[in-house]
Amino acid sequence: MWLPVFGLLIGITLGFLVDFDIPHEYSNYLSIAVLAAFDTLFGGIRAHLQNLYDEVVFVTGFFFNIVLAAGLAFLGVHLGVDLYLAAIFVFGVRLFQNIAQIRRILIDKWSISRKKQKKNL
Amino acid sequence: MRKKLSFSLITLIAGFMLAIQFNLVNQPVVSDTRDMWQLKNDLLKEQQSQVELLESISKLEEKIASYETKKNESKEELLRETLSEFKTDAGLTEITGKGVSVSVQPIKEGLLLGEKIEYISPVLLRRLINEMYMFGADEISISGQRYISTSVIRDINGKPKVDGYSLTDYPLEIQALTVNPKKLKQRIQGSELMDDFFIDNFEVQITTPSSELTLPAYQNTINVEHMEPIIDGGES
Repeated sequence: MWLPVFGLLIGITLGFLVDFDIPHEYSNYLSIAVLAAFDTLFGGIRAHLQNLYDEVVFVTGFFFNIVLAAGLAFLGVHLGVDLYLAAIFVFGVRLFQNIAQIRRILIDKWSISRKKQKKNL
Repeated sequence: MRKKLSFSLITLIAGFMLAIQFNLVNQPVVSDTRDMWQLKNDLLKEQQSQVELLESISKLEEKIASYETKKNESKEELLRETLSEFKTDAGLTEITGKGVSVSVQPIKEGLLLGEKIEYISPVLLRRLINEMYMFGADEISISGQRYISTSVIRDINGKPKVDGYSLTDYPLEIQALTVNPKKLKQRIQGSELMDDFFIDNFEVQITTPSSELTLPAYQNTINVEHMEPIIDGGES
């Protein structure tokens, strides 16, 4: 349970410590990629809680979503259409949905465990 | 376990990306907190460096200018040298050197016999000049007139003239510069020309002055007929 959180913290500290600079023009792509990554991450957490987790789907989805989002943004820049908005919209909506489902699942689990405790009492 | 590991790896990557994005967005705006005196100091420093740079630029430009003038001067010098060489060759300059002095005058015996003295024949004089050149004379002047490649000796209205100057005053002084005056003298003396001069009642005396002879410059202008100066387009 704590290992992924630990990984996240290590990643963040690594990112801050390493002076890894990206040209400012690519900050848009990176922001969309980050959004895609978090969408996949929360999707993975939800799937795990629903016992639907598939490692292959999760890993491939992570990278594929990132590449797709960045590619979409790139295409949008070159077509003059703000396609990255579509990516942000989709990922944003899914992020909210995922988080909402995670919340419900956690509440359900919590209420069930509470009922069990009451029965035991 | 393996699930957790891969999940952790993904979270690690996501965290890394998040941190980079965060860094990128929150690049601190470096605010200028220098007060007026610090600014003035900095300005002074910059001005000093500017002055130094300008100085070095002007130095380099001076160097370039000096190189250019040297180049031009050397070109001019070369042209001048060449021109003076050509002038010397053409006989437009005074020239001094060792040489032979040939004086031609009527025979006194002739005068005594009451014969009329005629002017010297231009043909004879021309032959003398030609023979002197043949014998190694470098530069020749006749009665103070420089004899050059375009000079002519001819009869004008019964008077022998060289380039338009009369040769009617005796003795005629023909001066010739040469590397070896003694040899020239001997060869002229041994020439048959002396007999021809004698037939025409002229006496020839050849001396080799110990001092250097000075031949005057050619006085007339040289007309160049078959050459034209290049105007523009010449490679310089």
